[in-house]
Amino acid sequence: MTDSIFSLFSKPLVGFACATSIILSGCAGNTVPDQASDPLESFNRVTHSINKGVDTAVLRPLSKGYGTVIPETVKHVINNEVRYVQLPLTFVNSVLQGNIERAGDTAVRFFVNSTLGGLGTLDPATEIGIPEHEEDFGQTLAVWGVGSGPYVELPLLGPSTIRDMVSLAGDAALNPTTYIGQGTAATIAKAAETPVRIVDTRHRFSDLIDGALYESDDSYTIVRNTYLQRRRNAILNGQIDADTLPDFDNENPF
Amino acid sequence: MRFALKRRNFITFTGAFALSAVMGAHSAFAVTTSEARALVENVALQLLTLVKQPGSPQSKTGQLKSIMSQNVDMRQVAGAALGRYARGTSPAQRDRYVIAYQDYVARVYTSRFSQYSGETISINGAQDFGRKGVVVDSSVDSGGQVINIKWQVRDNRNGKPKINDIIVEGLSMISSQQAEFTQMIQDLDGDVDAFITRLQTL
Repeated sequence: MTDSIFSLFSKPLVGFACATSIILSGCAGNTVPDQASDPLESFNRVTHSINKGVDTAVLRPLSKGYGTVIPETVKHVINNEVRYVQLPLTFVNSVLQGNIERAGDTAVRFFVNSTLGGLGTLDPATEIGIPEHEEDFGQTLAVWGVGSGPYVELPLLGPSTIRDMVSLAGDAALNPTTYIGQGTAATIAKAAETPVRIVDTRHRFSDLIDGALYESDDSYTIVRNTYLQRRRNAILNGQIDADTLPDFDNENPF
Repeated sequence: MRFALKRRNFITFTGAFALSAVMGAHSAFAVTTSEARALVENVALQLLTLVKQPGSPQSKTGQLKSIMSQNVDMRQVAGAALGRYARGTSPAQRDRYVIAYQDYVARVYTSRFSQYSGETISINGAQDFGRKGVVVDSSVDSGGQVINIKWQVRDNRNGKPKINDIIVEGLSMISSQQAEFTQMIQDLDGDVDAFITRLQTL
């Protein structure tokens, strides 16, 4: 099963990655764009104000309602399920990145939570101490040396880069709900998956997102900076890139 | 989880050891990984004690400021947060700004104290980055949710090890503030005095 997924995706992806790296060759090698250069800023600021409006009118109230109305146990199960359906994506991308340790952790986690966890409703994997990872195609392309391209804020989907935006199609292809069978239950699960994931994520990161959007003078800059930093951290699997550590030896007069 | 953390520790430690052996000759007076670790352990303990202490968040602002001024190189950090605007400042502006900055940071962090209680911290390892100091890696367990916090420790101008940056789940405090502050100053047409006044109200 896993072998076939691997061979299905690896060849077209390698070709695809090469094509992308040629398009983005101007910035190849940079995991995230230089924050001082934001060539799409004027476009991005328009989508940002739309996104912020949608958050204020719909997403934030919805996520607050979700937080207060839905019982903790149900939220817990939903969150388990949201993380569970990401595991095939993380597994394939760990393999593509050559990270056997993360691939192994993820395979074991998927097996344990599929069986003992009742198809991901429970999370016994965490209880027994199996590490959880998140890998996607954008991170894999970055590990392969594909540059990020300019920062872009996408309508409704939020902050991204050209590379990460292009990778979204591959991410969707590895979501199991794309392939579940027919019938009423399957149709509902498919239709609900994306909105549920968005509300769950908005709720889980409410402090971070509220802080960025509503507690700063310029939310666009904060969202961009937060996204790019978190993305770099995800690509480097939490390791420190010495170049990004602040340098205090410059001509700072302080 | 525990097993994986241990393995990472080992790799970090051996890496740090090899690095410090190589750099030893050049950094005879620089902070060592064990000094940095001890500093972070001490500061983390003081912070967790302050968080758990009864009383309103506002009443803890003064204590947080004193922990910061003893263990953080506040002038360097404040200067770094100004980014490209630091160079053009006058000595009077710098003094006024550093005070405003300390108050701002203490205000922002104590206001978040109410969200926390009963945290425990464990140090996972320390890595030497030479000129850029030592980064101490720690995990804070907050009711089952594990948050990764990294602390950049460097010697200050008097050769005392001080904390320079805090990186929470990949988010560097200095980088975030720098993005926010430089944008604010830019929007104020480069007027640093107006920015300091604004910072006092945030």
